[in-house]
Amino acid sequence: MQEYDIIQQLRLELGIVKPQVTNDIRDTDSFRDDWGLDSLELVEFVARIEQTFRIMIPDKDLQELHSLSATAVYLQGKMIAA
Amino acid sequence: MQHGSLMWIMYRKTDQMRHKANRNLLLAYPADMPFAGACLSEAYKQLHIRCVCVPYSGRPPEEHFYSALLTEDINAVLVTGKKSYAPSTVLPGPFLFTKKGRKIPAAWLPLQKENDVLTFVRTLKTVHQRNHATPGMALLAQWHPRYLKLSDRMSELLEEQIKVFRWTGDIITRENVVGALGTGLGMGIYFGHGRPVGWVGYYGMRSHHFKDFSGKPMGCVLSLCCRTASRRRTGVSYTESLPLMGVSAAAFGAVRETKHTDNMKWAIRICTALNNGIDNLGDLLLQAQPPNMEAVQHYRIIGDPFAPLYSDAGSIQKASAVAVFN
Repeated sequence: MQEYDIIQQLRLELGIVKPQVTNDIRDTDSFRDDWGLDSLELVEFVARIEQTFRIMIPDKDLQELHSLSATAVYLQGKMIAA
Repeated sequence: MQHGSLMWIMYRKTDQMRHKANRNLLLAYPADMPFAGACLSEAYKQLHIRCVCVPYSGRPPEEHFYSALLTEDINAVLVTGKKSYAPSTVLPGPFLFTKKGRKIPAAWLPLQKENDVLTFVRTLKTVHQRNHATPGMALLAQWHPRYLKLSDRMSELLEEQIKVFRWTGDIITRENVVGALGTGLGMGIYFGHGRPVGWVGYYGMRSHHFKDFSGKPMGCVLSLCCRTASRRRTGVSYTESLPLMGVSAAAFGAVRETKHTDNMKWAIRICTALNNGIDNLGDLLLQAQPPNMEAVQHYRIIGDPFAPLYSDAGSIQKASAVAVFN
């Protein structure tokens, strides 16, 4: 799966978690600082990613998922490792 | 009625019929408690669930004992035994594996007296005879922003498919929650801190608060918190006491500490599973389990692994009348 496709999927999931996050979100925007996602929203986002991409994201990796591009890079790494 | 809703109900009905058709339960019971084995297998037979009965001697069998018995036609396991055995030692987690490696729900039911069996059977029959078309759920939580927010979010995610009643610690008293849980809803989920003796929320909810419980039983009560199925410094744990007291046909609780992030993942995934039309506890847990093993292994199912999630006729009306402070 290409990074672009992953990011598009992530945008969809993020839109469910927080509808206020529109398509205006840039790939490098911080979920927490730029869009104000709180811990519950971030965990919901991670839970949805785990379900959609059928992977497991340990708690220690949560800080790596701070933006769309960072999350996509992380997921690509996970998928290659699998 | 909208076309989408009609399709969803049709999907639910056909799915339920498929599930109802051929369900098999492996029932393990102590050889010196033949009454329990006979009574439970007869009750399940009346509910069109076939029991494969396995009497055992001594302590409840180890995990490897089941691997030889779990053929592909078995859908769930119920291990009954003396109350002196703790949930953490009887089963390794909420699931066991069939010979071919398929995961199936596995539950524990502690029994001591004949009355324990009779109470459970009575609850079992009540909840299984309910109309499938009325799902209703109680959202329970300790009065703390973290848990209230999670309850609100679950409510949002479920509101289109299921009637949700938010009975969190900020808007209802403990006495009223006990009464509210007897309105006959299919399911209740608690978030907050937990102890082996009960929930920290509602200024301490304990099993003795249900001593005079005369309401209609719930299908299942899920405690997504720490240790409510642990036996540490208590006799029977809070989670075990709920099916034994006839409050619910099944309960789900942790035998150890749990992480809030794992419980949040459970919550989100439970919403997805419920929105997909899942109608019984075993299937719900199979579909909603988070992928990390520690989030799952700390929990145990107590009581009926097939506990239905649909509500009693009229329960939605009764639950709507429960007094809350808004």
